[in-house]
Amino acid sequence: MSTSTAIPSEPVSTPRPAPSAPPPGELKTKRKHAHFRWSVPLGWVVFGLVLFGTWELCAATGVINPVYFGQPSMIIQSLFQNLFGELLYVHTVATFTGVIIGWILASVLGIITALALSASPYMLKVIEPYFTMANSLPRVALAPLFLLWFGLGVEAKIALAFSLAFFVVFSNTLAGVQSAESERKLLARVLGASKIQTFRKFVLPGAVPGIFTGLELGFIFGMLAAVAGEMLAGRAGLGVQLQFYANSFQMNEYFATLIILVAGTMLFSWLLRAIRRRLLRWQEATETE
Amino acid sequence: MSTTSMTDTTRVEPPRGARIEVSDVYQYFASPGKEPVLAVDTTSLVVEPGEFVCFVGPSGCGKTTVLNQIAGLVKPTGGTVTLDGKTAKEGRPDVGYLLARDGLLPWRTALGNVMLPMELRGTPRAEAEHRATELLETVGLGKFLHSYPSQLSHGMRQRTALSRTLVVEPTTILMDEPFSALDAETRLRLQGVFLRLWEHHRSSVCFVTHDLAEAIVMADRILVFGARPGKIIADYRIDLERPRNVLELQANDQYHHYFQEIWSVLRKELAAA
Ligand SMILES: Nc1ncnc2c1ncn2[C@@H]1O[C@H](COP(=O)(O)OP(=O)(O)O)[C@@H](O)[C@H]1O
Ligand SMILES: [Mg+2]
Repeated sequence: MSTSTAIPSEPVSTPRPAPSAPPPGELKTKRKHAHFRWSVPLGWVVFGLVLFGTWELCAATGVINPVYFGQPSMIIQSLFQNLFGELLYVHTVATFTGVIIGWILASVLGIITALALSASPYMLKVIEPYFTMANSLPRVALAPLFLLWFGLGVEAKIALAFSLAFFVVFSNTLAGVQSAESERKLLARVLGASKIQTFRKFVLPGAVPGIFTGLELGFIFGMLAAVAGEMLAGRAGLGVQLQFYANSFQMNEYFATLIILVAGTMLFSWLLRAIRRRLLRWQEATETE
Repeated sequence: MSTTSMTDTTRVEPPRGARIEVSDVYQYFASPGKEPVLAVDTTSLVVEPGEFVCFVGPSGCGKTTVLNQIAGLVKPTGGTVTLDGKTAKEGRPDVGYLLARDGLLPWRTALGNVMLPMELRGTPRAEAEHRATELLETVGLGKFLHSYPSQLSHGMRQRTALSRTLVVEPTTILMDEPFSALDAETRLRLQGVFLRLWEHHRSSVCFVTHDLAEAIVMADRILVFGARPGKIIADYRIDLERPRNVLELQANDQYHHYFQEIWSVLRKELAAA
């Protein structure tokens, strides 16, 4: 076979089978950060362990005083002791009921007001200075007033959550509607779209991402306002509990309450984002490109 | 229509285009704090039914303005524009307008974008979907009906926009540098696609381009606009045989002859602008 060098190599045109594909997993996928699939969650765990481990160690050895700073192991214990008691069924329900009702009202009214005003540049100009004033006011400063007007029950929480969430939803919706490019409006004219068609088919769908941003931020701000109000006064609520635990040096219970607040808010944001992903597939298409 | 005429695409059908008449129009634009600008000097032109007319000339000489006047988007300061005797007005269902940028709605798929003009007119959904699908298949996008604009290449997006313009079978088609943002190869391909569709439908076309080669390949007539204020300074008839093959024409002697002749005029205007 060594003499075969004299034989001219195969002509290039000879059909050859296509090279076989590399085994699955070897080719780089288009997904961003695909190679982080394991290392990122691992990093989360390590980071958490270091953070809370240091805290635990410092508290256990007396480097920091657990009376003021709490201790992770005790916090978890407290969380489980209180989770299915009054903390969850009374205070968590009270806070989230108030915030969710306030947020829903703010969302509905915020979106409607923004859409209605976007149709009238004149009204928008008239409202603008008052709007800016209202938005510059630190809304938490209204808490004592609202408590006076609405009492210690759920109404004050609703009013406070509403007062902050409304403006967030309103301004994000307005920005979304106004983001419609002039080119898009020109197209609507060229195609002979009516005013209502222009709004429904050319402007509104483009505003949906902005509206969702408003909804997400609105909830977080609504929660902020409601909890701040509760800390001032209230019959029930996580803010009420925070104030009580801080005053009685129950730091572990304090942190356990914070965990419930964070978990609830994150759960809600996650729900909203899931809905957004379903509604805005076209945006997803852009991102994964 | 009988079944025989459906299959017989070579038969020359009577042109379906509108007669476009632009008489003595001129256009002033207000410019803040300054004298009004004369964008288009007194101009007249006629596009016969089924005629393909290209506008060429230096940029800023009012080609887009004249197109917008025909579309009814801009009201001329003086003079009249009529389509089949009716004064131009915006949003006429028998006028299609295509711009350099595709203007596709990002939240609609290619199919949804092409269905849009029919949707606005209340065409039944099934029929709209059928016609849009058919046209998208004709322009080679059969596999991309359900792709969003962000998933399509530049050329594919412009083909979608072209389909959106043609799907309602307008009798007047206005195009403002529709292929200028594309690479050379894609541009040639799209010129071919559009010519093939047009040779079948024979609408009246006003096609603005800054590319003289493109104008000669496509047009029956070329109007050369002079530098500002805009005005038509020359009118050439292009008697190349149809149907035309965009790729083969590049090597055609007559084509080069036209190019030389028109370029000698156009060059002076470009230099003056
Ligand atoms: N809406 C407008 N307002 C003011 N000036 C305009 C307007 N549209 C066009 N012009 C001016 O009119 C002239 C012609 O513009 P245009 O028709 O766009 O030229 P072309 O399409 O040939 O490049 C330019 O000087 C341009 O600045
Ligand atoms: Mg132009």
